[in-house]
Amino acid sequence: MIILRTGILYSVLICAFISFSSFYSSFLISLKPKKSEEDAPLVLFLNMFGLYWLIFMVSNVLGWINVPSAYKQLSLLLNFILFLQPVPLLYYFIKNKFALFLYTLLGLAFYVLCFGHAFELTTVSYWGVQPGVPQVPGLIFIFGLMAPLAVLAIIKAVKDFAKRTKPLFVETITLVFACLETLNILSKSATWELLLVRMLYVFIGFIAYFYLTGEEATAQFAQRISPRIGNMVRRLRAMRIPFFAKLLLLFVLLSILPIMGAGMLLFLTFKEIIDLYIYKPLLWNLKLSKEEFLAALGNVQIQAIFLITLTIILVVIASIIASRGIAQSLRRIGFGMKRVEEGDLSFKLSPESNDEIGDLVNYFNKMATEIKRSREIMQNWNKELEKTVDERTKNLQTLYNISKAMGSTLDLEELISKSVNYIPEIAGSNFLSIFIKDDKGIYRSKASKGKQIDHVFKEGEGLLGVIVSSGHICKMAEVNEASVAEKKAFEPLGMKALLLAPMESKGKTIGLIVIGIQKDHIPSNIELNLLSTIADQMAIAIENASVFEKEKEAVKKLIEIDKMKTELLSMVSHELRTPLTSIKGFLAHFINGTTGPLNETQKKFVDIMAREGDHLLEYIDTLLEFSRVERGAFVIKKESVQIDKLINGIVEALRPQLESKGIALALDLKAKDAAISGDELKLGQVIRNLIGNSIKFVKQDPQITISSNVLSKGAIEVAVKDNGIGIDRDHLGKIFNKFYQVDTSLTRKVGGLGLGLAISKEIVEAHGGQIRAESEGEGKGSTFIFTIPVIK
Amino acid sequence: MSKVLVVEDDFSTAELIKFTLGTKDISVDIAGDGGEAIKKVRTNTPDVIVLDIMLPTMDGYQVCELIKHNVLWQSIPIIMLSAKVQREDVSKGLEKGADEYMTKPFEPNKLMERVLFFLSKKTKKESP
Repeated sequence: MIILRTGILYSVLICAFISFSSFYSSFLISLKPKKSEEDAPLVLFLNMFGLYWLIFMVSNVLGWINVPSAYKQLSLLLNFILFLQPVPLLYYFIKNKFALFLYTLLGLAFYVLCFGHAFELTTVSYWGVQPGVPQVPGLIFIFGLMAPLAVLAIIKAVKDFAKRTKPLFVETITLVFACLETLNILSKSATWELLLVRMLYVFIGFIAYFYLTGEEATAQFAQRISPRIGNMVRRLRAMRIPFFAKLLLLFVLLSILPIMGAGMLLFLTFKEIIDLYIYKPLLWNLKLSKEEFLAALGNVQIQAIFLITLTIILVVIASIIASRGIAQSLRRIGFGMKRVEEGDLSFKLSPESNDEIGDLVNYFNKMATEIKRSREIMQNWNKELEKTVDERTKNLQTLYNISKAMGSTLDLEELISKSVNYIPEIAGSNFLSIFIKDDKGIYRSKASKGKQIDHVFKEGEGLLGVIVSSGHICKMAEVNEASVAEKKAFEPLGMKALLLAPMESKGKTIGLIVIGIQKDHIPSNIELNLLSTIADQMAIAIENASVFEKEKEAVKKLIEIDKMKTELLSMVSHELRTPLTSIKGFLAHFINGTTGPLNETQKKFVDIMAREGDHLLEYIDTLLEFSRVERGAFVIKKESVQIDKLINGIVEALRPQLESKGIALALDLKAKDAAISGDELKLGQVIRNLIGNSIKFVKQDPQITISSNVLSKGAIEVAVKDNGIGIDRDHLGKIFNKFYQVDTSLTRKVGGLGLGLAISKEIVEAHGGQIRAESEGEGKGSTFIFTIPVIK
Repeated sequence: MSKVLVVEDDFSTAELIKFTLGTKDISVDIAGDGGEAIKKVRTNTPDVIVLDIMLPTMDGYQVCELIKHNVLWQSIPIIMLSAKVQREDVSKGLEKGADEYMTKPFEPNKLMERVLFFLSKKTKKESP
């Protein structure tokens, strides 16, 4: 009853312990190296730890039930500490190194306290130190692995140190402890047999380690130790042995075989070995004899214990299978995804089950295939796109070259011959000709690449004529469909088909690009588009060139007319001079009385004739002067001219004329000695022109003021001001134009060719000066001002 | 009686000059073109030549040049009388050796004055 009560008392605790421990240990066992192969030893340690924990748990459970003791209390305390382990373990997965450290520290505490303790109690005592304590095969198995792990950890730490990289602290500490523990156990090997067996374990443990981890990195590691072992690991990997089979194999290798070997070494029978290795350790924990145990088997309590034990084992196995299965599958899928992510699209996972995981694997494979397919499609598209872009770029370059060639000249012939060289070889053609329509509507080849062609045609005539009248469409035409004349022209050149692009400008066809195709090649849309764009461009350029040609012609004609006009003016003025010489000369004889006295009337008439002769001469002189200005034939002398002196001279000569007309003249000369560089005669002409103008357009009480000034900007200004009829604002800007008269009716009255101001302007500007007119408006007088830069 | 050769293709102008000079007891010979002028200089060397520029066959400049390059004739004063009135025409005339350049239309009195001036110059040279 006491035993039963104790069992009930502990059962709750046991259940909690079992459920946690089962999951925990199975979880640890199923851990695999996560990211890189670097952490493989650590993970393996955790695996072993899980396994150990399982065995420890079972032995403890068995122990608690029958043997409540101080040792058991201690074990219980340690177990509670272990409950804390999952907390840092969680952090392990979020790669928190500090959490990992904490976890390992706790693990170590447990390890040092329990692991060693368990060994002390079980393994070591059997071999003589503590006779009577049996050996638990599972613990031997654990020990066999712990030792090589510790060695590996040391190797790694030394290597990291040599590479000057920081060794993983936790890993190192953990495994150094494992190593110390191993040494501790080895040091307690009192007999040589024990030492031998344990050394054997270490050796087998190495192999087991490589085999258990079974990763490529392990294989490489093994390769470094011995190529043979490396190859062996690879071969084992290739065998794809299930994990549990491996575990079983290890168990046999590390537990059963050594035990049997040791038994045989001690000349024990099989029954003795079983007693020694199975019953004794088991029953040692229960503190029962074999007989007592067998008797107790009938006991319900013992049955319950077995039931619990069985449950534990089943739970462990089930959870290991589940977690390993799912975790491994997920890991495999994750690995596959990583491969896909890294670009290995041909990677496939091997389907392994028919459940959801299997479906997932299938979906994954499908997805990878789909991605691969769509990427291939994309790549093809890309290639197509690149090809198109290349082609477009080439075409743009072509168009650019043609535009440049066309833009470089306005000469029609040059334009066409240049363009021929830039039209690309479409459809492997080596014949190209540009036909241009002439004034009579006949199309002629203006330039060709390849052979020259003298075929001519009209709109609607033959194949070419029809294409031309059909307008702006790029077309292919078979030569054997052509007219007789066309066949005659194109067949000798070995052409099968013609690519025809009419050039259209302002809705009218002005020419045709003909490209001969010799091979069986159908031009692409891109080529056709390009050709039609070229045809458009050429049409524009040709149109421009012909407009320019016409303009050039017109300008040439205008220049000729202008030259003729100027020459005519010059000739006329000379020719008019000759008859005028006789008229004036003979009149002078009348006036001088050389031919005898004249009566009053005769004298009056002769005077009028002489005066009109003078006017005529004045016009002739102006015309002549103007014709010279037009021809640009007049030369400005560069001499020093004192403006005030010049004005005074002119005014003196004009004074009689002014007085006779009753014009009051005022002078306001302030330029004094200031001189300009120029032509005295020409400048005098300007001043005379301006004064003459003022005289011409007088009103009542006429008054003229002539002023001169030196301007601050280094120029002399001369102004001729009158109070005459003035100039309307609209006319102010135009009065310096040739032949410009403000009012034609007025001109008729006062005379003049309207050239005086134009000539004056030319002269002033030839001196680098400026001339302008100012007027308040009609009837308010006007002022003419010109400025000439002074000599520096 | 002083002799003046008038080289002038325009009949009216030649008549005008002849009349003008005729008033002062000067014999006036008229040549209608350059070739004739040279012929007349050779056969009947004048004291003064009044020379038009725009002439058929040989223009006034050439005539002037020929006369002035001939040692026998180069002392004969030449008055160019022309409708060419531009500055460069005048300078070209003087360059070719003309002693005087007058433009058409001309003041008869002025021509007379110039002819008399050259005639008196010649007389002065000959008298000492």
